[in-house]
Amino acid sequence: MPAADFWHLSYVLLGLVVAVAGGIATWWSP
Amino acid sequence: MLTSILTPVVHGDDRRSSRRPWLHLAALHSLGMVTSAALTGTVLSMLALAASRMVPGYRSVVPWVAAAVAVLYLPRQLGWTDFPPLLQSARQVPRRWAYDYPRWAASLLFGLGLGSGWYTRIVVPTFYLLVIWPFLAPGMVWPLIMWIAYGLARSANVWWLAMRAPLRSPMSHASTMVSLLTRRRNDLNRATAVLLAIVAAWSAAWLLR
Repeated sequence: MPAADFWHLSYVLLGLVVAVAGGIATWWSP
Repeated sequence: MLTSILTPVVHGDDRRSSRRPWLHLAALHSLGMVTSAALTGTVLSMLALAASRMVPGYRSVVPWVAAAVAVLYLPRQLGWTDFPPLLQSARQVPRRWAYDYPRWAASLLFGLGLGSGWYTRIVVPTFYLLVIWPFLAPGMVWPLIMWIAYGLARSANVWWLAMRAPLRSPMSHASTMVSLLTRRRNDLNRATAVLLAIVAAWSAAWLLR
């Protein structure tokens, strides 16, 4: 996999994890 | 908030058809949430685009900001300190909407109000990373998808309640869910700490690439 593709893929995947984790964390919001 | 959307079904039973009003309300809530989140993602992407035109090369600074936020809040998430505080708006989505408007409108309005993430209590710093993310790389599509995923994840607990709670007493099921979440608070902090550490390491690697 070319380096540029790897970094883009990691940007997308980690961003999605951050987004879903951030959304789930709001369940703890009173 | 949850039970103000899903009020008890007095003459219902546990058949799926009796849940339909709750499922409709959950769908409206998700629609509002996703719309608001998508708008926020679009605005942030447009700000990132404008910044890249006004300050060429600004993106080289953004991984530093992401790493700094992750490193700054990591000790807090590990329970070592209460500092720094979680910065947030003092404004909250008004609870009286549940009484001022019909249930369908309240579900939609709560979704629209909460979906941007600004008008609710921020409990972990992951939200700041989501705000930073559109500034890391060019393009509007992925930040939009990420914010939509945020909106959907936010509203998943309402779906869970709409599908699982006893029709006559959703409050008891909501209380069970809240007490379960309270018991798992340390798990949330640990998981967030792991995510912050991964983002810090990834940002450092992004800078060195």
